[in-house]
Amino acid sequence: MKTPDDQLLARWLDGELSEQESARFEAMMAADPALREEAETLRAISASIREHVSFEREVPHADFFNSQIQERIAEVQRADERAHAPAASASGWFSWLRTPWALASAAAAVAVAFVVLRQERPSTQVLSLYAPNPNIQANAYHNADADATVLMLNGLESIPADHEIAGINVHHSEMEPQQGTTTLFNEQGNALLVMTKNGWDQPVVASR
Amino acid sequence: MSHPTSSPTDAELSDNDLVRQAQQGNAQAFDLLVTRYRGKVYGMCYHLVHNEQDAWDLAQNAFIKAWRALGSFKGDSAFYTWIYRITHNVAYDWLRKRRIQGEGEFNDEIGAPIAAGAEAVPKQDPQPDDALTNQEIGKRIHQAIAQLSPDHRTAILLREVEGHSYEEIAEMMESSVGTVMSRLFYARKKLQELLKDTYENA
Repeated sequence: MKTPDDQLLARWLDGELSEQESARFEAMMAADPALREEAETLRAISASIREHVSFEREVPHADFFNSQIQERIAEVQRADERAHAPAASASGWFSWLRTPWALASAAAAVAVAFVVLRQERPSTQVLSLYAPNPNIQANAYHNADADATVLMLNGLESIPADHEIAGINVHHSEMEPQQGTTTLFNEQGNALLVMTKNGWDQPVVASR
Repeated sequence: MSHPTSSPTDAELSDNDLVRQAQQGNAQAFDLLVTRYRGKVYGMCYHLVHNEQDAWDLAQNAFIKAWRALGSFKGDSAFYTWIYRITHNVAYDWLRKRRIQGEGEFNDEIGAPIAAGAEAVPKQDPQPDDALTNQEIGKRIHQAIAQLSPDHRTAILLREVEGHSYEEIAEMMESSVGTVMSRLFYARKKLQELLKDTYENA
């Protein structure tokens, strides 16, 4: 803003002048036809902008716009839940399964491994999801209506239709503190995996 | 909680009511806020980036960013001021990245090739008696606004079209009232220059 007069002109255009200032500006315009012309032109431009330009625009595919946001919010919520999920409930070994070592030994050829915990209620929860290949993003969500758990893998190269994706359905686990092992059981109470740690504190599969 | 959360579809709910519900994790309440402001948020992005696809994506990002930041919204200002500020930041980051990638600098000296929204000017029968039809004026206005820098364009639209106060615009653009007034001043000077032929002897 160059001069106090410029500021006065700007505030006149914006209707921000006090009565006194307004009278002063009117007097200035009366004495200076060039100022009046400029002020009138600027006012006409302002009026044209209001007439011809709209700020708001109709969002293309508005319903999809909303549903996309809801989907992304759900993703955020799932990520938060995973981040805050108490590992203690699973005696810590679920976090082992997120580490590369466990999967490297357990299922080296498998692109993605996941641990599913079937609880008393009839829904299935994916508690742990891990992709050994850092380029692959793995997500899972459960759709209660469809009673289905969907695994989404981004970044996979196309895989043959008969490729087996391994998962283990864990019903519960038991820790053996003296031996430092954790055994995972299926619904029938059969042992699925015995996990332990090696000398570097890395989880390994002791037996299957 | 003093407010029932069971009926967030009530169109009577104020922005603040919906924000409170959304802050407690109610995504449906947030959905209503999205519906209320998507046109404005998308419009703001569109005026800055001049293409539908990028504006659509940026508007999405603005709402997601708002959802994540909801906890920090204290209600000191109106929700729309807050969401505009987030939108402004999101769109500006995008413009900055593009500028770094060398896809064109933004300043008033380089004319934007696209007349934003020019196609949206309502069609009118030409009036042969007038030197310039209303439609033609509208087209020129759009072209002139498209040539302003993003800062100037945003400031002038928020003031002239949306009717926001200097203080509100300063908050939305994260700047001072003085800066806003200066942007408006230079934006108008530039428009006056660009529209010289249109308004001379009018």
